[in-house]
Amino acid sequence: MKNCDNIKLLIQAFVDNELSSDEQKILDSHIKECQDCKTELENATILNKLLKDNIKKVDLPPYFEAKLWARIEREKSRKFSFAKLIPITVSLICVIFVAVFSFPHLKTGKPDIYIVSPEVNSIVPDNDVTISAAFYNKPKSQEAQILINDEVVAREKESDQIIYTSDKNMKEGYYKMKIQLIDKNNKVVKQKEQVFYVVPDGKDSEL
Amino acid sequence: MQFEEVVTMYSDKLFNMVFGFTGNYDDASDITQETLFLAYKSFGKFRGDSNIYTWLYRIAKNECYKHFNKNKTSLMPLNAEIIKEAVPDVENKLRIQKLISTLPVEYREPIVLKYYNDMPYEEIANTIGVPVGTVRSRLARGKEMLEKKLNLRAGGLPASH
Repeated sequence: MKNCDNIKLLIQAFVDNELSSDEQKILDSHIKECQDCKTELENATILNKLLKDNIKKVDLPPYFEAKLWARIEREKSRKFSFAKLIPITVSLICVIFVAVFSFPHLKTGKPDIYIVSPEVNSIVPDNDVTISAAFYNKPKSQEAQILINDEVVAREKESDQIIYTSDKNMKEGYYKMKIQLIDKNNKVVKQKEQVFYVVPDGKDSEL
Repeated sequence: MQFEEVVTMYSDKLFNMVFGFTGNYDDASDITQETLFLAYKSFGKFRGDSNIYTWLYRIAKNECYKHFNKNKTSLMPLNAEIIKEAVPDVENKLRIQKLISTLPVEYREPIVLKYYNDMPYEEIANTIGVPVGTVRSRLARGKEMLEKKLNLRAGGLPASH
């Protein structure tokens, strides 16, 4: 039968619901006359049903997005530390070295924050969320505070360290924490922040 | 659009596409992770002259090639052993997914986008970067290959399931 090769294209477009009305007419009149193409159409319909019935959508693996974001956060901190921190750190060490040797009585004395837990970008179980930080050179006039997603959850006046333990299970997801030193006027003098991801207890070991 | 929105909107679609392409869940997971990570790194350079999914699709396709080169397998296996392994007495689902992943890339692409991403011909054409007529003929040829592999023409596969 003439044109059968072109008709094959129309048959596949037909089962995919992609025929124009003109093409539909051509296909209809051809099928009436051509047994081979009629069989072809039956096969195409069966295959289409097989594909539709057997190709099922698959779900993303567990914690797919959490893993991606953890990797992105690691990349951000790596980029930051390598691209910017190394030259700055090296020059700073040189300056301090020279200063300390030349003027042994000099002390930098600037307040600083060291986050003890959780570790950078870590995945923590929901029944064990503990945030702690230590302070260097924290003046008595300054207070320390911990914020989770910009909400103050702990404050400390006297001590050189601060600890907060979540008293209830936290929902799964990303949290942004900040440790701040603030002066009498509530102005932030020093701040450190990082993110962590909370998962249901027991799931953390799967990651 | 923020990158967070890209991840939320397209991770699932991209993962299904890569799964269709590779026929392997773990490979699909690794390749989709890598694709989105690379997309994050170059998101600032994305100029929006193609749509975002097309851009992700092209990164993913490259990653598929890299993955298969690394594992010394081919994106175009048509490997007798794979087919033999896939065909007898396995669930139709696994069998068909495996068979799709053995098609040559140019025929596999439109089938995967059609059946795993539910795309109409025109969208497939834009995503792959070929005319709609080419999509038509490649789909027809790809399906013809599947029919033969499934022995459909000789009535070898149960039509139901």
